[in-house]
Amino acid sequence: MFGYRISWAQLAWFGHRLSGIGVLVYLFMHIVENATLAFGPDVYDFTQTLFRNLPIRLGEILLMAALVYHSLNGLRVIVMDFWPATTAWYRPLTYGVIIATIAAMIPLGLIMIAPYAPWGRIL
Amino acid sequence: MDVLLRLKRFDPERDADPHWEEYTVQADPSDRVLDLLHQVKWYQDGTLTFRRSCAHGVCGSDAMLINGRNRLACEYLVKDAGTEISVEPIRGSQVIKDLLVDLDGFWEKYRSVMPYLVNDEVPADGKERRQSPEERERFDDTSKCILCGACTTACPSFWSNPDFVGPAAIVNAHRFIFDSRDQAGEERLQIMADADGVWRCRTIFNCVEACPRGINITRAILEVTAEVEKAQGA
Ligand code: FES
Repeated sequence: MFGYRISWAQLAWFGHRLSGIGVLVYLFMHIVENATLAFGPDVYDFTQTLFRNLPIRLGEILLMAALVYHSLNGLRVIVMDFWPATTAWYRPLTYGVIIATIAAMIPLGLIMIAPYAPWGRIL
Repeated sequence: MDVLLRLKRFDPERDADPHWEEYTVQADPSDRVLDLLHQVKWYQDGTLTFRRSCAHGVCGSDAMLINGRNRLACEYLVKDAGTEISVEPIRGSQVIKDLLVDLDGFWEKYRSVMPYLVNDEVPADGKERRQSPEERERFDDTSKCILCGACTTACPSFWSNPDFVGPAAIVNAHRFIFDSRDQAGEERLQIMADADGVWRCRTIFNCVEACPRGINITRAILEVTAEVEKAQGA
């Protein structure tokens, strides 16, 4: 892969893998986190407090970005799978997915960071 | 103008590993990278080894990794390539010497899709098998392939799994699967349905970007995939 010029479409595929693995790793963590409920409400409440802080929230924003990107790019691949003729527009479709992900993450990120932002506390 | 040509060279009798060597050559903007390789071979170092035949983008002999992308050396002009040009052998095959790679595996995969018309019936009029312009159009794009290997050796799926039949072979399977005169479609689809067949495509489009003939290879692969699914009743 190294030394070969990376196109946007290749980057889109790589991002798809990366976000997929990221979401999967989160899923495992999520299962463990929720499984602490089996040890009673106290243990569960305590683990929940571990997840209420800024670094974790930033991670959650990243997770959201991964989910949004993975879904949109997945849709792109599905569309091309069902209608191979649409591959003719693979470049605009790829750019579209990237732009849509960024566009969606601006409000989503702002909403998610609000509880930790100075202006968020004021609101 | 002067062009700095960086070539990845390898002589199995002397080198343990490939290494870069630099050459300065005189060139016109309208020269092709192949002309620069000729200059080196003819006037600077006769041991430089590479494949080329037609020198006009027809035979598909001189696919090389030029400036980070697979291209035909005989089609890539200096004015587009710039004054610093790097040339490497295409990836995923064993380098025999310098820019020359072993394509036996590539041809084996090509042969595996039976790239020839199969029809043992006598034509209705006893002379020719007629085809409407629409039927001909169905595989027009894939009939443009010159078998240079630029697509297959640009494919990350192929790099990670050399057993993948590869874009070039699928393009040539497409060429006959969608030919109304052909009768071996089923057999070809079975070959394509193999674990190392069409399923290995990850729609990365490196093949499309690399194809010197501008074939929409990914479309061909996805059309064959759809056909495989139909045949399997999915
Ligand atoms: S030498 Fe024939 S295609 Fe370039």
